[in-house]
Amino acid sequence: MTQNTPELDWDVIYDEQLPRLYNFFRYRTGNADLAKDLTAQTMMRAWRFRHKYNRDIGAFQAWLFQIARGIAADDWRKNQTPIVSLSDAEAVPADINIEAEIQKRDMATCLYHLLSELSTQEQEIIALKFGADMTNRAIADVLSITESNVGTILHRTIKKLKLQWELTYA
Amino acid sequence: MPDNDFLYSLRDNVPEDFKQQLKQQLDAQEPDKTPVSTNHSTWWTVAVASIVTLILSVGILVNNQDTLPFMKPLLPPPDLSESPVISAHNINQLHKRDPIGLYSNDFATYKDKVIIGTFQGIFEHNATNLNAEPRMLVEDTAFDVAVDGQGNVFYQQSSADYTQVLVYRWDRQTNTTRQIQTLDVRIIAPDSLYVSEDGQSLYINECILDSADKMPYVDCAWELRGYDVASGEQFVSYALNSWVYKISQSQDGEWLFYFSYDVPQANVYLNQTNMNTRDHNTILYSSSESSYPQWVTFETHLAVSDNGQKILIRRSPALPVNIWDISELLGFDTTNGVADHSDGKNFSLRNSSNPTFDSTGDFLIQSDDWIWYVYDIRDNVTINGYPIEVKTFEKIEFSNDGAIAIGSYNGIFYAYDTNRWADDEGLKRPSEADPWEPREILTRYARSGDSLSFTADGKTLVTDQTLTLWDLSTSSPTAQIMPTVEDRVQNVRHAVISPDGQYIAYQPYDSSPVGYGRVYVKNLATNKSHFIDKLVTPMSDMRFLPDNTLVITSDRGVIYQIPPEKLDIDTEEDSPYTITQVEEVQLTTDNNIRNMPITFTADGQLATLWDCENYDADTKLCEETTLHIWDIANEQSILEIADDHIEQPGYIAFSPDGQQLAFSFCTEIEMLTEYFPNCLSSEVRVYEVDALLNSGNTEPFAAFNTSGATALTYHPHQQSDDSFILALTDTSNDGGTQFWSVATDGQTNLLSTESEIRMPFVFNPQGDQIVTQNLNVWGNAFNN
Repeated sequence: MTQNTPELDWDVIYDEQLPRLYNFFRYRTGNADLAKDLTAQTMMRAWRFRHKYNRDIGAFQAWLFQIARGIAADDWRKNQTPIVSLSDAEAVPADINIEAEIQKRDMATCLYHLLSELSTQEQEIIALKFGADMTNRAIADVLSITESNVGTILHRTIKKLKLQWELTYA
Repeated sequence: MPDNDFLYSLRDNVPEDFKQQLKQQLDAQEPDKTPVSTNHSTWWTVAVASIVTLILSVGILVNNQDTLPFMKPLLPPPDLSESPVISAHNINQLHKRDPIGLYSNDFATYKDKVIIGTFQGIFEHNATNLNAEPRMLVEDTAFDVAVDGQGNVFYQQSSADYTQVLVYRWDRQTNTTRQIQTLDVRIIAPDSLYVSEDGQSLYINECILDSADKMPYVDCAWELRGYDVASGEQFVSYALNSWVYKISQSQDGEWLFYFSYDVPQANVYLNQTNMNTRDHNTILYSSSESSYPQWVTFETHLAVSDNGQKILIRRSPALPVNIWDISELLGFDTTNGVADHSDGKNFSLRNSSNPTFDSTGDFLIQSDDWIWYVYDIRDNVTINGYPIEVKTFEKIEFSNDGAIAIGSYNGIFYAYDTNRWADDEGLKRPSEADPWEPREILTRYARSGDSLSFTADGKTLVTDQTLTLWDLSTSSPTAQIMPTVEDRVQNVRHAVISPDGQYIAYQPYDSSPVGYGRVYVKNLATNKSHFIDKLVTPMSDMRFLPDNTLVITSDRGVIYQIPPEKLDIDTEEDSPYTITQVEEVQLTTDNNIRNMPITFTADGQLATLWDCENYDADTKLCEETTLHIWDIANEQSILEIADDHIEQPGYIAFSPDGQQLAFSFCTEIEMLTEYFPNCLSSEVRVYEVDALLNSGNTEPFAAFNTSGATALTYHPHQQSDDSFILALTDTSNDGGTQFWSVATDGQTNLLSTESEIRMPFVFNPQGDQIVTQNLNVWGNAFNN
């Protein structure tokens, strides 16, 4: 869980935000390698230009994820990233339960297929919520919409996903 | 498998090798090790100062909420009304005053007051005069606001790291604020902060997570918790199936009502709690009850009348609502199932938004499709109503005496006189109804504008989105000109006002086949609007020239000119009316760079545009670039400046007298991805227009380097030493604005690096103020 930072300690920010960013991009792209690439771009951009941090915009995390959104959107626009099955994209290490791992990756691929049917805003909110582990309030800051709006969209989207999940996977 | 586990399927740990490698790369890219291509040493000063500022800001931020960067207290603004003209001598003393546009998060009413929570503070307006200067109750961010019967304000916000929820209480009598709750690692459901009428009890719907790996909103143990405001002690907690949609209270204070959803079971419960005994054993209705089918979980709605006598449940917008006298329902114990109570009164409403009782409980009001719809529930009569200014209100509140209804949409507040529907004669049919116009429109909370335009005297500013006119001497809105277009238009994309203030030209956000790309001209004196018969799709720029000629450019290199005499059509017909006399100038070649504004001299005689050889839309780079200067009257290109070094051209500006032409282009580009060029440094070149046109000398008479990609703006006045001030705003990377002096002999000097101005901006015509696109006003408080 997020800890209070006594000062702008890059090491703390890095450890705290890297998993959030990485998983945000996994949800947005469905591709582990691409998620690493985009995470690296976001971190490098934020680090290099951290003095750009706009005090009028909001907290550091919101700023970081605004950069991430831009990078994700740009990547999507340019590449129209194809859905890559995570089971194809990643080799399965030998020392784990292959059956369980394949099931997990099948689920991930299925979820990404379902996400790709959603609107961009719905995809972003799901990625920020379940990938980046952000609160509705933090999401509201990133997306510049109200927290109520986030809550409503989130619940409707989850409901929609659950229905589709049951139809296509279960 | 638990119901929501699949939502985590894409989550994974960060690969350790990736984490280590990236960290090494970042450590190797400390900013002070990054090569700098600019040739002025002040870059270092600015960068270091900015970093120190940031570190200090965040360090303080964690310890003191009041100094969070985005909660920076609005100190008494310097008086900019007598701001001297910005010059090379005082450019270092720019001050920012209050933003003229705020963004509201929530609002509540108390007596005849409207209390609005914003990121900048909580403001209290008098509903009978919304645009009078509001009283700032608290200089603090407020997400949700709730008001008790004494007018004390409760509000909540996140801690800096979003791990806590902080709840505050502002006391009306003492004008003091204290924090009354800090909730660790819990989520408050939106719109579920509720304070009892007596102000003693605070109810919050919370998501309780029992371990760190649980997901907010998904793994919640939902509870409605009650806190004693005086002591902060929790006095009650009710476990719920899911989050609470809305909390309301009967006016006698005895009963608390709230909706909760049981998402997996698709059930909706209407709960009630006796406020005196704290008993919570009553479920009034459940969607699983066979006599109440067709609940649509997220479309349900609860309303309780202010007099505490009526309660309404909407199961779905498509179904009739059920209305009960609360006295019929109190105390039903449905612990073992839904009680055998009546179905209440079925009332068919239009399929629409959230119905709200008026203060008497006799009328229902809802907004939809640009109409207030009013229903008399005593006689079961539907009374269609009155045109409103928006499609539907997001939230409606009444003043305590019911005399004023406040509707909010898109951050704008509208106040209505409700006496129109509550008079003795009853409500009128639509054909007889007087226009039920709002008596006040509060535009202070308008969203940021994308375009800004001044009248020639510099006193009036028009912003787009809601077409608002602002009096810059007070930063107050003076009018909101709602587009007189068909109902489909809600916001305006681009708006300009003529120099004499008589006309506004605007292009709305209109995606309809007939309206997409239309530009309208409104005469503010006659209140008539027209539209031109050309669709500008998409528009790159629009402006009035000093003689009131309207010039519109598309990003396909076409210029439309509407002469001043054609702005008004001699007709009695209502708007819109087609203006047919549009003069077109086609500047284009197929290589024109899209989305680059075409730049004009002040007199509109010359225009420039970039032409790009082999433009790569993916990388946004050109192989070779040519700058064209066009003679508009003769419709021909009169000069080309070609340069194969200009891969990524930037902005262009003419000096106010048209004698200097400045443009920027990137000199150092990094590819953040294969298709993501990022401009690290730029070169700015300045040309003498006379030399360009008359002697064919295409060498710049001044040039200097700067960081980032830049937008260029000239100060409107020539300085006393005949130089011009050229402002360069970095809109891509570092942010911040540099002010340069460009002398007629080609000497350039860096006057100031005003790093806080990070948005594109315009000078007002007098040159004593700057207005940024996020509606901050900058000026100079000192008479140097």
